[in-house]
Amino acid sequence: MMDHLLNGLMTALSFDILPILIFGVVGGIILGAMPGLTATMGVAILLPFTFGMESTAALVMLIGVYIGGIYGGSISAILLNTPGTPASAASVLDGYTLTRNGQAARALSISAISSFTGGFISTVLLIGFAPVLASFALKFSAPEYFALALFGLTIISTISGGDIMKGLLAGTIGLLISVVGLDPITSVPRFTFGVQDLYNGISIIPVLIGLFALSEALTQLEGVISDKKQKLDSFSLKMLSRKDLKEIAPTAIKSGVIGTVIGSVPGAGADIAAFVSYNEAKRASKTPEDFGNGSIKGLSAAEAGNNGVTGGALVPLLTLGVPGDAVTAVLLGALIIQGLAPGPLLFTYNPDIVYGIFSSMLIANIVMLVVGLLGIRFFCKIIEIPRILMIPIIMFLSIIGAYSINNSMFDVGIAAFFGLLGFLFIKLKVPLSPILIAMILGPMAETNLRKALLLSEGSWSFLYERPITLVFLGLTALSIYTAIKLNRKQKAVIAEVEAAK
Amino acid sequence: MKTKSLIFPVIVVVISFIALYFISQFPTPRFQDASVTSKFFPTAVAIIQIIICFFIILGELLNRKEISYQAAFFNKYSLFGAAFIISYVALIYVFGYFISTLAAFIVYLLFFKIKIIGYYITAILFTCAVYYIFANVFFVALPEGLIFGGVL
Repeated sequence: MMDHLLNGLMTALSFDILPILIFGVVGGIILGAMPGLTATMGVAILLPFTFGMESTAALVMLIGVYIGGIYGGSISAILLNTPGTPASAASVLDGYTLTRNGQAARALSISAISSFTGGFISTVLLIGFAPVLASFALKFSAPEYFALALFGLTIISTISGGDIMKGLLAGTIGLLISVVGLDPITSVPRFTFGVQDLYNGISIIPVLIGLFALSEALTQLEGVISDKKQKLDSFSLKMLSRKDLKEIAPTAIKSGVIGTVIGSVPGAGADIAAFVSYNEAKRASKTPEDFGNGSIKGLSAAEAGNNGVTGGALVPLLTLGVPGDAVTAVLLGALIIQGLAPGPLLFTYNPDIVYGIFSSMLIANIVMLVVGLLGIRFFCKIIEIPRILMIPIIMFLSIIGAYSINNSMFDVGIAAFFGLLGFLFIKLKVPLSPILIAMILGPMAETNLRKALLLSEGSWSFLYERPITLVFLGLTALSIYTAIKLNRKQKAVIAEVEAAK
Repeated sequence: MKTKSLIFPVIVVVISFIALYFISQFPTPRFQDASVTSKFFPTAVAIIQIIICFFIILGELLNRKEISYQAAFFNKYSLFGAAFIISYVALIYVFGYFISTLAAFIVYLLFFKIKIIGYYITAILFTCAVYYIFANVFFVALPEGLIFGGVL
């Protein structure tokens, strides 16, 4: 393992790869810093352009965008009171108060150091645990993979944004889309209507470009005229002190661990990690009244928590081939584009790629810290870039990206169709991530179910005779129960708040 | 007011029934030794979809008190955006990347009555830079179009 890791580090630091990594991190920070542009969108737009790149370089760049994007979201949260990404919503609470007090540079430097701490801890834990889980997953065969895919599909109930039924409906739409093409077992054409381009099924990449980049660009376009030009008040360029560093260190480390654990649970994203870390820091604090009033511990907890997710979220993706959220689903697309199959066999057949990813994550966090601390003045300029100019650029890059995967105008049509459909779904408050998750896990569930039935000669007994399958089915039931319970609790809290008004 | 939230699940139900019809038309392979066929999974999904829609419709009908849509569903900018995407896809198919992107970018800026000359320069620079970077750095082919195939 150490050999692979050292080789990975050498690769990540080589003259070929390091500039790509820096480009990815800086690009991610810039995209994340612009309100409305998320890390998912950044990875989705850049994904097709990595097609011609060598595997490690391609993945390193996207990992850089992911890590940079999550950190970048906090810049506009701190400077403008507008979270660049949902993950940095908790950073607004204390970060913006510090900015109002003329301490924007201090807040941004705390954010950079805490994000680095969270991201670095998360990567170290990923390196420690992922190979263990992957070697366990090697014992899986068709019934276990079917149960795992079923468990993965229950993520939909937790990422449905409060409306489980609409999330499930979006999930079934994704499942139906995933069956288009030749049947994986008997090669019977399904929903192809004689169209040659549909025989290979609907490619995931144009769908995700449409859903996460084009639809978001359309949403941004709606509010672009009412958008005032962002101007910042002048602030002191004094960064955090040694005393600040001592004060935030334990909180950042603890939040990094919390973020990693939450990130490794499918469905729980960086926004949840940030708020849980923030609440835990507040609970453990001797001065909880400072939280929300410019507490550096509060800001540190939120930032370390959301960046802690970056490593954690890759655990189920790399070891089991199950994406935990939208951005890892997009990264899964990147692995597929490179001809790699995420899952336990990736560790066996492509250890250079896996440890290349791990090493580049370690380096990406360091790059993020350096860029984050040195680029404070520059980032203040980024948020002044007019959105009216960014929106067409996103649209053009999305369309060109969709084309470049297979040099196919059909894929462009798919991206445009899903862009418009995604925009309509945003309007109808139907969550988009379930569509993508279902499109990825649907074929895995169907193929393995039918393989399992063939192996057991048509008997469904594999569902209760195999212990790992049984455990996954139990987890599936538990996941649905927890999601329903959480949803009810959430609705009760909303009703309480509305009643109080 | 109420119909807006009901139309979507109703449309999905209709689509599900259409899907079920097409599923019933899937050809059956000559050698079928599995207990479930290629129809099983999509049929199960379509039925589950109908059930979910039924619960959504029921929920909307029972929960009558809320919902008052004040804002318009789309504004003119989002409609322009949708038309812009469709037109750009059609343009790129006929004229290829270079001309379509430049033309679309300028039309976009004119629609929003942008008078800042720097934005138009950005449009030209962006189009050229993407063309150069994709061809020479990413080695990704850009659409050439029907008319200028092989030229631009």
